[in-house]
Amino acid sequence: MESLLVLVPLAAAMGSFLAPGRGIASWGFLTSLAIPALAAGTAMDVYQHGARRISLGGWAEPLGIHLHMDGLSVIFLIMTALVGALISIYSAFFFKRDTARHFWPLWLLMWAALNSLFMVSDIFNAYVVLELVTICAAALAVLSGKTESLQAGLRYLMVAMAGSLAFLLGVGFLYAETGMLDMFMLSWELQGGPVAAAAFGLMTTGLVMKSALLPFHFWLPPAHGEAPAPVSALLSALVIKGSFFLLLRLWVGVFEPAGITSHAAYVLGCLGVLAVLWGSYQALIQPRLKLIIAYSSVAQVGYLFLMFPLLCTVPEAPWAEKAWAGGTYQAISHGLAKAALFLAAGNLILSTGTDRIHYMKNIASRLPMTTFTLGLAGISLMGLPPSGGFVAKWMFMQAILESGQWWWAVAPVLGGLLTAGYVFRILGYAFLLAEKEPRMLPVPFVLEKIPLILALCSILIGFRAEEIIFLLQEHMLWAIEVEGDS
Amino acid sequence: MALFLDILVAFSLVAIAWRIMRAPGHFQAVVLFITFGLLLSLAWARLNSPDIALAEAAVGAGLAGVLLLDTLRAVAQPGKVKTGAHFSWLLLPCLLLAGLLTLSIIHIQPDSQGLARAVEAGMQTTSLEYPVTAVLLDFRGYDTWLELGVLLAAVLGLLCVRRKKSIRAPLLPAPAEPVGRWLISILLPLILLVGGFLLWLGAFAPGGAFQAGVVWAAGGVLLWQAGHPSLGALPVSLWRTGAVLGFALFWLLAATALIRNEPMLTHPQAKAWILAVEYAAALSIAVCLTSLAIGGQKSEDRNQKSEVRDQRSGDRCQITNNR
Repeated sequence: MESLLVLVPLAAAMGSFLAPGRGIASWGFLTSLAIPALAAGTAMDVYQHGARRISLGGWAEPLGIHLHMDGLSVIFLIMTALVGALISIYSAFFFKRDTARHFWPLWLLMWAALNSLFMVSDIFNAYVVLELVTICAAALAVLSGKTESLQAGLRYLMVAMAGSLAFLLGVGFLYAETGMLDMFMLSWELQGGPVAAAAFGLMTTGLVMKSALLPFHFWLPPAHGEAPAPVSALLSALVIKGSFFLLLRLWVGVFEPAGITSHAAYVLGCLGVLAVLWGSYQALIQPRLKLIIAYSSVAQVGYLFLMFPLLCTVPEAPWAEKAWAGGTYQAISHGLAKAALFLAAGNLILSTGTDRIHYMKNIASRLPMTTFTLGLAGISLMGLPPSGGFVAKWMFMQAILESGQWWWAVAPVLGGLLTAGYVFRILGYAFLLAEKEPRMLPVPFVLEKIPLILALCSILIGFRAEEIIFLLQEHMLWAIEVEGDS
Repeated sequence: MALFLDILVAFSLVAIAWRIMRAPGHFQAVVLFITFGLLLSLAWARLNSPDIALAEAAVGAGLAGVLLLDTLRAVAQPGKVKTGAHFSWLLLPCLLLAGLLTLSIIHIQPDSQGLARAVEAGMQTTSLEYPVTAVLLDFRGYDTWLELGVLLAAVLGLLCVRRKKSIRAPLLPAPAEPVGRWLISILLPLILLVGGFLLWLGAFAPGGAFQAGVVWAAGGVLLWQAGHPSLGALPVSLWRTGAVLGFALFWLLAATALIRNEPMLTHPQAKAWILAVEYAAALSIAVCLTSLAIGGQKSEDRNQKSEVRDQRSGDRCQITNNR
């Protein structure tokens, strides 16, 4: 089952590369039918039987590479499957044939790599998979072929490559110190010390660069803002989550048991708060809708980094469960809402030819569905109940108050206000009456519905909190790893 | 004597790296970079890693150098740039970082065995005789498979940037002097032979798919540089098949295990199977690397230009296409 999560998109990627004819989008359709089913199957398996791992090629630790499935990975797998499938269907109607020829193989390769990344258990394999994601993402970012997007894409590639190399150097240090690559063997073997600290610093820096945390956020707004709408959605909703997931897994699974995370966790937390404030402020003053959404990503990524001071400073913290739930909910609801926003922005560009918000006047009556989508996704971003974003912020607030590290509360409170500011700025223009009605083209049916479904999902997951929290509580990997499996 | 050689190599590496930073122009920097790659492969050889030395010489110095020189030609403005001046403020942080890394490197246990013992144990079961090849193709075949995917993604990315269907491009003008063509007619069979030999060698000695693929790719690039169509002469479908073949065979290897209800990539330890995958991988590596070198040319095709213009006019036209 879990192997198919990698094999199916890879087969489709090869198919779309070898047969880029008229039916190229059907490769994407088939994959987006199969992957959600497979992800749901894997999730059910983990939900019922707990975490498990498979040895690729039949080679046991420490020699072989493993895939590891636990609560955290299946949550990210399901998010990727849902968002990926919906964006694929959108893309099938969005791209012309000559662009589709480039889009499908790259996206399907990236999908396989992302699925593999969420099951990663080997630090060198993590590097390879991350590399595949990065190359595909950078190539997708320049899909429109415009000069600005080429510049932004090149800058993205440079930063991501620098991050990859830092990560790889860290892998080298860890291997030199312990002589092994499997994350869960490392979690027992690794002791503190200068070599482990160097590896920790290098890997964290590399992944933080790829996750676009302040001060490494500068590549994100142009790269995400200039790409075609479905690509922006993929990059913002999924690709950033990939490197964040790996960072979380390494910190909690490998470095925290070695006891070298506690001070650095405060640094990441502070950067996260700054990212929330700075990103939201920048989003408030951007002139273009896609740039607003891109800067909003900078801010929303900042929330995720609040997990580290809450999880990695006090061992066995009683508030850890709430911090887990908050972070995971933030990742899922941001993924869904951000994909909805970017696709809605794509519809707006299709219809009016621009995404400058001054030209968005009166779209509420002309494109009611798109406006509704923008509003719904905005609700989730702001964190109003009953959305997924609300659950995330609620859990975060509880964890923050219980932990006594009250200063982190600045981020959810002020960040929420600023988010409300830019969401209402978008909606405000949408409801203004225009003096002169610009010419608008109608948007095809499917293209309007997909972002709406995504936005609805980002609201509705707020009602399914128990299952997700159960998955996290009962099947966190460190719990089972410490007990058995030796 | 050996120590003297080591110190010489280490110092020249640092000195050349510094010279690259301070080079007065791009061309000098690229030439120095190629030198750097060659010295680095020497260093790998001294560190008893012939496999890495081969790969570094071929990819780091050879193909990367060709790509950089091609880029210089494409930029077509060999004007001198002020290098060094912008980066002087980075000196202190870089020195600090280097110092910290050196400090931690000193703490690494020099007698660390790594996974060597595990590999030895694994050699009992695997059908391959050479440990490095066994690690690449069997123990950690998943990584190698995905690395082939990375190579494929790089080719796809190149086509995406250039907005081309395949790597076909207008031919380079043939060199006027006859020496080049004469040289190629001698070198090419030799290159094919050496690549094949390296590939065959990989089963029991340093060598293997990557090294062989790179040597073949060098042949493809040489052909192209001499004004021959090289890979561009292949029909598009054949080129596609060549580029994807190694990856596809690996996929088959991975997927057939599922039919036998075993974990992915498990295979009956039959040497023929693994060698088939390796040979296909070598071919795909050669095709992909050659494509990276020759596919970057701008296409002069009229159609291509109008396609780009369509794209520029915004996504507006897409909507009409959709209905």
